[in-house]
Amino acid sequence: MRTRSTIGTAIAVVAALAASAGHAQQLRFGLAEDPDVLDPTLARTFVGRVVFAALCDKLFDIDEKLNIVPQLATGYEWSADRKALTIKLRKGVTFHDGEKLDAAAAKFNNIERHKTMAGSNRRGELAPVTTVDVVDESTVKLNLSAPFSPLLAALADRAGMMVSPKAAQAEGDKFGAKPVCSGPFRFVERVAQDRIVLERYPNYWNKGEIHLDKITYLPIVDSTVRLANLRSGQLDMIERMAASDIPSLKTDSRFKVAKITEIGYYGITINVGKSDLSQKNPLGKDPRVREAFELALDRDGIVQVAMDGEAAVGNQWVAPTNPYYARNIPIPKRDVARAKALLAEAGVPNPSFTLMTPTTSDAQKIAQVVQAMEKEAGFDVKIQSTEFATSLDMADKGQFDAYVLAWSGRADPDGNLYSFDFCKAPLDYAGYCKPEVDDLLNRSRSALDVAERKKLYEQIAAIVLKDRPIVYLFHRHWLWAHTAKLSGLRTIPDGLVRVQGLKLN
Amino acid sequence: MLNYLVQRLATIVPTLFFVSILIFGLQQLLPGDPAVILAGEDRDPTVVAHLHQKLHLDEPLPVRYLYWAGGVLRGDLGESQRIQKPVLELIMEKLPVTLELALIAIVIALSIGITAGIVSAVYKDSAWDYAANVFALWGLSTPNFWLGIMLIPRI
Repeated sequence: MRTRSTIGTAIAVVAALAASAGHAQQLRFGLAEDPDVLDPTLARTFVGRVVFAALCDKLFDIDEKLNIVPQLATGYEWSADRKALTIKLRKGVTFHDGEKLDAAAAKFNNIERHKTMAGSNRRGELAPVTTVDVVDESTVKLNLSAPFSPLLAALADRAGMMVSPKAAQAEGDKFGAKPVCSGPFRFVERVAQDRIVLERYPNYWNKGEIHLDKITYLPIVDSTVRLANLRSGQLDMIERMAASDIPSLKTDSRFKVAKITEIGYYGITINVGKSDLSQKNPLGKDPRVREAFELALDRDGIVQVAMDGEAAVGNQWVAPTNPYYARNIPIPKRDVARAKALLAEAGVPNPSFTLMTPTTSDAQKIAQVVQAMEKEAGFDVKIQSTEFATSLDMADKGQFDAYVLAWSGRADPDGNLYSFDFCKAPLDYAGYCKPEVDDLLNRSRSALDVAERKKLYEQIAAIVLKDRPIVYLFHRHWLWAHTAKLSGLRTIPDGLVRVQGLKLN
Repeated sequence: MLNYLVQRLATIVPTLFFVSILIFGLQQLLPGDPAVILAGEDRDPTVVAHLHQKLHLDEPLPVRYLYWAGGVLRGDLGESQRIQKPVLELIMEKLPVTLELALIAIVIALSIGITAGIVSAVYKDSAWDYAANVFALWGLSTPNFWLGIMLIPRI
């Protein structure tokens, strides 16, 4: 009798163990690249941010509609002169090493680390922040040199990620090898070019939303191989799937596809003043030629051919669905006759220029479609495929007429515009320089009210979209594929997967 | 014999020097500025300047070679620019698997090779000898990447 009960207990224990093992939810996530260093201060790649979304919480987050929502902060308030931002921090939040997240820790992150650490990639995003005051244990005040409305969006990204001051001070610039943050998952191990493993942090402040126990990120560069791994059950989810693979997956009930329009764009930068070359070419010299260039483009056609239809057409630095899209300048319709008339008026019926393009397949396809479309209006477009690093170098030196370039985008419209169109800004490859635009750009940074900023962006659009330093083409779709067992996936335009709410059934 | 060994070892030094210059030189042929790529999409000028200084990119080529060669001689292979981990550590991570594979391969090769060689020598010009020779020739001429794939068992 006793033997039997012992056996019974043993069976029960084994069954319980098996059941709990069965319930352990592990998500295997196929990434398109191997992330760079996992240190929010030094990190620079998009794919690294995908991992940070599970590892490191931020002061704020953005939602589906690009609204700024609280995360580690519970609220904020701008001062009357707009030169100080007071942030209330969530109480009871701890880092993965058990240290407390308080105002002192936030000050450390903002000033000592993100702003002053050598090689920090966050310095530019936090440039207007001069000092941080600890108001009380859960309140900090950021003092600015000038009003800067894009700051909130910066704090909703890596510049707002909080790392454990204790671990950061001990590890210095080696912190990324074993990051300690306050996100829902903590770091377990990383094998370069193979995997990054995170496990659930039991003391997460919002643990009710976390249903997964473990996440393994596996970088697989080839999109076909990534998809094959999903199909064979080696992965539960993949990011950046190829648009051409959607039809085959749609007919398979075991999988689901999710998508959203990105916050970035694809466009063609035109050398309008970067170097002498701009004045030697009718495209750079004469705004009428650039207008003709844009009128000869059929954006829907480009999206169909180059992107398999998986992009939203657009003519601005933000997508037409964005709250800051300037409604006064809609997408122009293709008009070859008008383009020809403009070229005749400019006295160059057959202008010729070189279109530089990086060697990625998307960019090459875009260049070829553009070449064919422009030919109908009389343009002679020569395509020059150039390795990416060289193309950047040439763009920076102004050794180009036109250049196919993508931008991954920022949550605040300022991040898609200021660095490109402000006179001599680092990404102003076009060499665009207009004092009245600079003035409007600065005013859009100091305006805090959405309606006020919208008006300013309409004014900027009215000038910049006529001068055409960049001809915007479309906004890609972020594409994810995942097993039908996965639920709770939110599609956010920044392309990062929020792990809160994700569940494997 | 000792002389011979010393001579052979001495020739390694100039060879390694030449090879190291070749490898280092080939990297310089890559186009573009590495700091601009490393600085990420924003290409913040202060970050680019910091990387130039950190990686000695502003120094003349021979000086950069000396920095690199000096590090290698002291066992410092540098740091992975991508994930900021020492390169030596990354190699050590993967080395045990490589060694295991190499050792097992040598054990298999030697046991088959020595046996076949002895059989060939003892029964010279017999069917055994020819069989061993054909087997050896087949082994030599079969591309091992193909053989490797063929030997993966189907699950």
